[in-house]
Amino acid sequence: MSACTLRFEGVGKVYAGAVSCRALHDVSLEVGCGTFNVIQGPSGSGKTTLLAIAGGLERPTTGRVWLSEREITLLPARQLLELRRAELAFVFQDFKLIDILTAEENVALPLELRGVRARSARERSRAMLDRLGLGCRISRRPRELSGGEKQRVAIARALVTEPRLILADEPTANLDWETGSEVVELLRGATRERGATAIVVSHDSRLALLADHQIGIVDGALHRNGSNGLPGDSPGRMKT
Amino acid sequence: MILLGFHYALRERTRFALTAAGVAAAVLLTVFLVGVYRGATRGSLSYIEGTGADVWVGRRGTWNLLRAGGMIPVKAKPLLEEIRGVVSAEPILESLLPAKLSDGRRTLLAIGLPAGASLSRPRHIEAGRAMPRRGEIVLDRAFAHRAGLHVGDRVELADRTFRIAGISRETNLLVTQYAFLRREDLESLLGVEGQATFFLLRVRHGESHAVVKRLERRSRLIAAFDRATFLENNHREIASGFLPVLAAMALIGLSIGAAVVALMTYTAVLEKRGDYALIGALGGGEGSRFLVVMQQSLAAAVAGALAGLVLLHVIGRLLPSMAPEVELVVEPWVAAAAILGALVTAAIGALVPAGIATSVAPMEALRR
Repeated sequence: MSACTLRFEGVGKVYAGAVSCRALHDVSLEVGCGTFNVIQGPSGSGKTTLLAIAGGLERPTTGRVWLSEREITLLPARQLLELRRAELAFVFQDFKLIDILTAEENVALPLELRGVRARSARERSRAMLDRLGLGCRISRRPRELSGGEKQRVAIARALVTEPRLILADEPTANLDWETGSEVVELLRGATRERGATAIVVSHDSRLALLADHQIGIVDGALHRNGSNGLPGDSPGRMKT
Repeated sequence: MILLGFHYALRERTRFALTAAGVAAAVLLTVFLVGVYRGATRGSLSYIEGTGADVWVGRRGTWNLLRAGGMIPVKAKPLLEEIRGVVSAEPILESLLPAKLSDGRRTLLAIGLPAGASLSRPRHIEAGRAMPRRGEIVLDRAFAHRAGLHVGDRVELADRTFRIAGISRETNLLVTQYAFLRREDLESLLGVEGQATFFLLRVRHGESHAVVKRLERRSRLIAAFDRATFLENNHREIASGFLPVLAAMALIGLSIGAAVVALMTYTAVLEKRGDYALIGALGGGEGSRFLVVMQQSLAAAVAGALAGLVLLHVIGRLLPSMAPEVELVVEPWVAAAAILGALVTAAIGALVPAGIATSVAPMEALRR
């Protein structure tokens, strides 16, 4: 398994409560390095849960998950946090920018959380915003940016830490088609230029056309018909 | 180090101002009370220190200047001066007396000075003379200011009129003030003759303790104290009345400050719950989120403490005209302690909100 490969093996997730809810069931999946992958499925199908488990934000109830040759399901919280810092980045549907911070400060935030000195973090933040065509927007607050600009800032925030795995949750949902395409192109660019792996959860069927690999999910289980013609050895197992 | 908490504090100005105002009020209340206490203490002790007397001698049962019990005949002076180590003895008479003012009566702590008093006269004089002649009086400046009296004016003390010869400083005890007149005049007012409340002794260098022992061996009717002990006794007298109230008010003030910080920080954390989840998802650990909350709280505490001290300074400038008998003494260490206290209070107030922030699951960032 290469350094940025993500592998799920028999992963299940049940949310306990008055009425327990099965979000994922026996998911086996391997996502290759440097690929752009789109997970599709209806609402409540388990897409976000899968993304959260891949990102170490949730632990599976059953099964095992490997990232970069490490079984993250066995890692204690502290090491999981270190792994998230070192290798992962998230992009969210509603941008999740901190509204009191400028674009530059928002992008610098994950660096500062990793202990990078403020000055250096700001320099790297400016450079990344410049690369994404937002050089003249660095001192704007989120409310002063358009939807597309906000998502580009969010992508800059994800890319500035040079992650090996980018997890994006409906990154184009709040954007028009043209802006959404730009955002997808940015994510695809990151996979091409940096060899990073991107997993994008999306309802947007047009996004699937741009994906290297498409993963379908229905009722918490991988669905062969959702794959982009990719090989899978069973309805619940898929390799991209 | 992540500075997000300071950004929150400074960019959410209304919340920040309200939190800082709560801390400022707590600091103002606490330091004001400490300042009044220190002012009253200084007024009490400054006169005693200023006399330069090495040993104070009073009637047995007397242990401080404010609660003198009984008298000693003035004719004991040569007997005291005979004691080995004693250089000189100066008798003073002391009594609380009512002064009549246009708006009612106020009580003064009258000190009757002997002719040619060298030790017992007031040391800090703002106007006029320190030593009154017969029929004259030296008043504390707070009292004089309150009554609108100046050097040369007349004041009625226990139904006798005195001409004001001088105005003294550091002779204000908050609840009363020192007034200095001739011992003969005070004896006349009290209807006694040849009596002293205290003898102020000068002794040879380093012999204070030995002289105190000799005095106590010589007579069971007197009490003698070296300067340090007498100062401590007077300090305890002031503290016994003041400190319980001060401690209670300071506790109330700090509790209010902590409650304001806790409430404001708590609402800030609830409102920004999504941000704390995001910080977790972006790689911020519990320590980072704890720090972000603490930064907000501590920034408000520092700003509030400084604002409280500035307000106190303004009040201190206004007090002499508004309430001259209230004398504020705020030493730098008190101001520093106030800032430190505000920081500790704010940190305590922010503990629960910080606990909530650290418990927010990063997964919440993915929920819509």
